[in-house]
Amino acid sequence: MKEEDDPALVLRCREGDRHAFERLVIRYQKPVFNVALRMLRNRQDALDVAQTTFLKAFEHLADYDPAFRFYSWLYRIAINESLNALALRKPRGELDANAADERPGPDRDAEGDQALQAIEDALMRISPELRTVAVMRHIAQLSYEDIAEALGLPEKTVKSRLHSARERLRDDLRRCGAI
Amino acid sequence: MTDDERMALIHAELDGDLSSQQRADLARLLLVDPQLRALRDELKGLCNRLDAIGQVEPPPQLRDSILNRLRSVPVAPTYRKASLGRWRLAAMVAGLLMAGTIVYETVQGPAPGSKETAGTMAADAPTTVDSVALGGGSITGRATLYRDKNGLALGLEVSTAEPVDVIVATAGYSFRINGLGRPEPAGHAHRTVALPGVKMQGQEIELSFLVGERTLSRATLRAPAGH
Repeated sequence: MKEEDDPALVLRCREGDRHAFERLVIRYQKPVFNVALRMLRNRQDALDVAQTTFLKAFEHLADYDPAFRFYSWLYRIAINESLNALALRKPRGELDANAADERPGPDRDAEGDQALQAIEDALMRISPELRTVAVMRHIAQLSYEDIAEALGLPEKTVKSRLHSARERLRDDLRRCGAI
Repeated sequence: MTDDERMALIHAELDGDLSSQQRADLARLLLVDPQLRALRDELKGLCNRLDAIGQVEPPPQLRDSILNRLRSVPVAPTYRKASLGRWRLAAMVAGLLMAGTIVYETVQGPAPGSKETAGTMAADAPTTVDSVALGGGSITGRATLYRDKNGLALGLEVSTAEPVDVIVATAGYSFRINGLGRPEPAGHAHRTVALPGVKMQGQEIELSFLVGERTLSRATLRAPAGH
């Protein structure tokens, strides 16, 4: 059976079909959860953000402008919720060991594990503004156009932020001897 | 070629956005500049590592918990309510306009001149709903809640030593304004932001001013009901 596209499902939601929204949850729960996870680096916080994101999307479906892609709107909510969660966190200074609770899978070898650990640590040390674009580009694999739409920024600004993010990450990894 | 232009070429290569001419230019640069080549290789390795982080599967209980909570929310409540509300409002406005026109033309005669219509236009000007002075830390200024024909809007006049982000949060609605004070001279920023979807229902609008993740100041505005 052919999967319905987002606009068709959103239209059905707006007509009161709850199952249509369930399809959207199933479709986007993984990327939304992963964006939150990489923004927050805490599994429980990411689960909370993902849940809130979908509930807010459902409650505010009337405010969604179909001229934009549904997933851009959803990512925007997820990013805002992640930033709010970060802002509400108590200052921790250095990352504590419990913060890095998203452990790699068993398929990663020890060397690869260390390298990924280093880059995940570095991601948490750059500003949330830069982390946002790095996560959307490299983790969610979104295009510049999609990121610009989701963040409500010009594409040029997104590119400039991503370039800064990469250069900061590279500097950070060099300082730590991880590159 | 400036350093910025050379970096732009490297990032374009990482994004797969190089034209054939640019690719040739970059190849020439890399050939004669070992430092640039090392930098390119490091950034390329970094991007490969970032891409390798990949996505993990969310736990199955995420979907279940979302769907369970959705079941307790009435079906698309805002859509139905808002749609009906808008149509009712539009019908009322149309009715009032029609009645006003009939009364006006009966009493004053048709075709009013530009001076008579000026008062109508003035009614669209924004009115202040609430306003609060900002203070604390390295930030001063004022936050003002306006209302005009399009709904509520938030005005921020901020003097700050460094660019700040602002989290705007109210019932069921929150967003972040990034980099306030960055493009403006001498750290003085003036920004007006529409608040679509925020209604006058007596709720509070919380503002948090942040540098990075550090909160500099907080303020609260109120959108009184039936204002």
